[in-house]
Amino acid sequence: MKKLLLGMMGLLVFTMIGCGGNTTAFSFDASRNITVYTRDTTSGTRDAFFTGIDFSDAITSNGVLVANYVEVDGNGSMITSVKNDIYGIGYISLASLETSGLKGLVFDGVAATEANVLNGTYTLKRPFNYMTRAHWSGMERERQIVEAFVAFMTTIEGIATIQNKAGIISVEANTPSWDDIKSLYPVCLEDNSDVTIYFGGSTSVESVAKALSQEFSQKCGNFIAEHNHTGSGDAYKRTQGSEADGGNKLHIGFASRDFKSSESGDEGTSGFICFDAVVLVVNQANTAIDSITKSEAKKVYSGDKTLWSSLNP
Amino acid sequence: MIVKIDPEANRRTQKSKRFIWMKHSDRFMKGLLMVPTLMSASFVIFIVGFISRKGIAPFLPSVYGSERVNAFSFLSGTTWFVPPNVYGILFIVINTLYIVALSTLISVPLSVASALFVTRILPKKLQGVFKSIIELLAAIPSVIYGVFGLGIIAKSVVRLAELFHAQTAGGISTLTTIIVLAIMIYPTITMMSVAAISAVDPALEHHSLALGATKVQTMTKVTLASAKPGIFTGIILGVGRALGEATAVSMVAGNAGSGPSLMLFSTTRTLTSTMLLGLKETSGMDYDIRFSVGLVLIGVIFVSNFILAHFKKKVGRFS
Amino acid sequence: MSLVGVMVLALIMGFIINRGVGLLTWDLLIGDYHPTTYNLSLPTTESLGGFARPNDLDESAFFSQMWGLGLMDDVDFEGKAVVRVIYVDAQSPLQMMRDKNNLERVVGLFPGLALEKVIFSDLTIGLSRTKAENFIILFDTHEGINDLLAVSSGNGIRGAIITTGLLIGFALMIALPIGIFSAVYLHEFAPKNNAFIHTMRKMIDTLSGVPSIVYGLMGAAVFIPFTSRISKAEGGNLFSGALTLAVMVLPIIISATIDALRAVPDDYRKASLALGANHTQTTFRIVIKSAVPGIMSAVLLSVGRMIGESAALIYAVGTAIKDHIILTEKSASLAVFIWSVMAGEVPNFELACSVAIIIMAVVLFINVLIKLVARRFTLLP
Repeated sequence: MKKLLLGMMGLLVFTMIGCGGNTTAFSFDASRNITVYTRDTTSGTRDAFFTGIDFSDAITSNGVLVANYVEVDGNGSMITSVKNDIYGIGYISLASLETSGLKGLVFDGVAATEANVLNGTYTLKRPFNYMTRAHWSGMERERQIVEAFVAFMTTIEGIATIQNKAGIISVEANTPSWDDIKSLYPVCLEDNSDVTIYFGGSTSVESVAKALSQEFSQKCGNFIAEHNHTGSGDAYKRTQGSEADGGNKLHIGFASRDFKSSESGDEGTSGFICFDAVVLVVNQANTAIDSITKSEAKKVYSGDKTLWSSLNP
Repeated sequence: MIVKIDPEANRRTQKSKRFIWMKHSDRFMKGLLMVPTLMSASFVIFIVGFISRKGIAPFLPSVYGSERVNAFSFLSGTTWFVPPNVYGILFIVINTLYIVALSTLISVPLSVASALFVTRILPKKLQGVFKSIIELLAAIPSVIYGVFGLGIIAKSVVRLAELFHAQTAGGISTLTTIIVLAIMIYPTITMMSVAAISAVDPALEHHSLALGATKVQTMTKVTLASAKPGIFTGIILGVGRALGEATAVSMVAGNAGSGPSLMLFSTTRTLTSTMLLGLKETSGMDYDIRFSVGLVLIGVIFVSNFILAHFKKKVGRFS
Repeated sequence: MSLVGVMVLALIMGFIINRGVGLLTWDLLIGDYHPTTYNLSLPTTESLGGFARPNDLDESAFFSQMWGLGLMDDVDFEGKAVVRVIYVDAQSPLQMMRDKNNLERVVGLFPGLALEKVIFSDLTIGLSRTKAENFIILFDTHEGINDLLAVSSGNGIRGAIITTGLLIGFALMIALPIGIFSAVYLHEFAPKNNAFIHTMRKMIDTLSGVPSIVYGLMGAAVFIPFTSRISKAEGGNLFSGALTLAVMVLPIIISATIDALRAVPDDYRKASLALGANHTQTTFRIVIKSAVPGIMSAVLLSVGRMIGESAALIYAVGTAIKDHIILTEKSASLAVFIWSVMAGEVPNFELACSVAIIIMAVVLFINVLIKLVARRFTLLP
């Protein structure tokens, strides 16, 4: 029994060591395994990513992925996980790259920048879309507020906020200002502080959506914006699909991909917000690669290549 | 006819009326108070009943029809979820038992040693202080243990992994879960052991010392032996707590997708982390299946309690 | 080696105090979680230009001579980059901006705010993303502001504190009567050595071994539909949470009350009965009164258990962090707040640890109270 106790003491000593210093950077050892991170199957980012690297089987199935993949359930969790694991690789929304503290990889020779998305050379591009409810029985005020919100997203103020959160969109010459069109939405002159609007859907769109709702709430009677982002799959499901009338219902949902044919909403209930892209990321301490090709990415995620050193720099 | 007017009769009737009223009010109160008691007692049935109702739903053809989950593959599966309707729980049960067993193995020696220390070696004045510390540890909410696990234990495990040239997902691993659970059940087992050891008849120890045994021998062979049943109760409580612990575990486990995770540095998935993480829906099969997992959890706790209680009886027999 | 307990406690407390104390301000306790937005405009100005940079302005700050404005790149609570307003000259036209939603109201830009975006009168857009220096350049070359958006910091936990208080209050209101009366029945009125009574006691005992997440499942399966049907709630709400907590602490209250009743000397009861009182009067007027300290510790123990509860509430109420608490809507309690902050987008250790300090302080306080009550309790004759 004494030996067991000594062993436990040893473990505790290690704990003390751990608490003593902060995580000092270890030197990157390229002979290690690649820890593959992926989003869950309802994620629009996952959809866009696997489509973009020609690995469509992996969009809905985890079985074809490398054996020891780690699944995370949101854009933010992906960032945190790869930040904590120097041997990790993952994929995130381009909009969150600059604030993530991670290294974005050059994909097929093209750097992941807004300019390259706009000129079409960066291929992992995808849209941010929205979808609202089709049936608003008993929710007339909410319907009007959401209608105003959708219009707000197309004004200069809205576009500026979207751009500020790194959504990719340009201001056209005749884009109206909110001040120009707000008379069309009288609901915004009322006091809406007892109205809660439910936002949800993609986690990649979450920071854009939150910034927009926060700003617009002030402009439209101070309604309460409640956000519950759980993945692009819920954008249609919770506004017009199977959960549209349950405890999880949303008034407006966001998706980081196009809506599928099984998700066709009613006429006029969905639309485009801005462009975004998916970017492969690794930890800043990763010295093995700065760029990756489509086929290499597929090999990493399918398990054909498992060591950092096996990747062509 | 002469009607006798008895002045006392009135008073007697009043008195006996009051007496009857008092007796009746007693019976009435008894009946009235039975109501909340019955309510309290029946909650257990409610819990199991309603959870079963939702938990069995995924397997019934009447609810989900052709989309239903196959019960057999559920109970023997090694991958949690393959869309659209295949779920597997066996590997999760193995993981859970594995993790709880290891945490108990770490925690019990430490707890018993601490209990011995507190009751037999420490001077009386400090005993109170130590007991308060242990009570405080027991009162810390699990979410704080989770934050602590993520902040310190996970980081230490990363360093530990470096020493062994192993890889971890940022410290989120089986080992971290085991350590956090061991810390959480340590106060429970210690407190019960302290109570058990304090209840040991000092005469026994005096007899042992008088016969020439050393203090250490007395402590281990005599004191512990008679405190065994109490210590075992502590272990049962600790195991129960570890099996049911949800918040802290889900913060450090990682929720691995498949296969029993026996390697210490790989991520893992327990019954409770399955219930708490990835919770997106509040209706539909993905939601109901968590109730099925809950049922399995209740089953596992029940069976383990039963087995451990059986051991306790056996152990008690020889002391 | 048995200092293990002490070491672990010291480690835990040290960790959360270290990380959390930085954020622990009065503002944290009474502030909103969601930040306050300022939406301002300033159509035309005459008094532009000629502002001198103050000597004590930070080296790394950028100054606009046209507007008398000092901006600096900074990080917010979550470590995200913001452009912070650090100086606004007293004569600056920015002191006299108008609230766009209430053009009568004059609001001045003030230091501490994070500047998000500015749309100038010629529709040029300035974004905080492009950093402070660019902002200042834009300010120096433009004269009118159509729309300015600035944000004050949020991350206050007032909502969580109120939620926790409401949940505990309602749960006690439900659980105390049921628990105390059950205990009174079981100890005072029930026939002893009755198999049925024995089974009931066993079933109540089993209740205390149920893990919190199972309570959560029950809350979600039973109380959410129940409260949805009798109120305008849809989905998780504070009532379903209070009901779930009530069932959770019921065994604690019952067993502590039974202990308290057991400690009341039988002489009291016999004396009361001898004096002519019936069973009911004896129990309610004499025995329960003497057991009050024990019942108080029951209450304290329950509060201690409820304040840290997270798993059950995640299922039975939900995890949305709110500032404006409505009983029929979901809201996060203190423990669920920590969970939400850690399991969400970017784990915010500092904020989580600050809230942890508060919870621990309350737990410590309750533990001390329990000891005091116990001491007074045993001094009763």
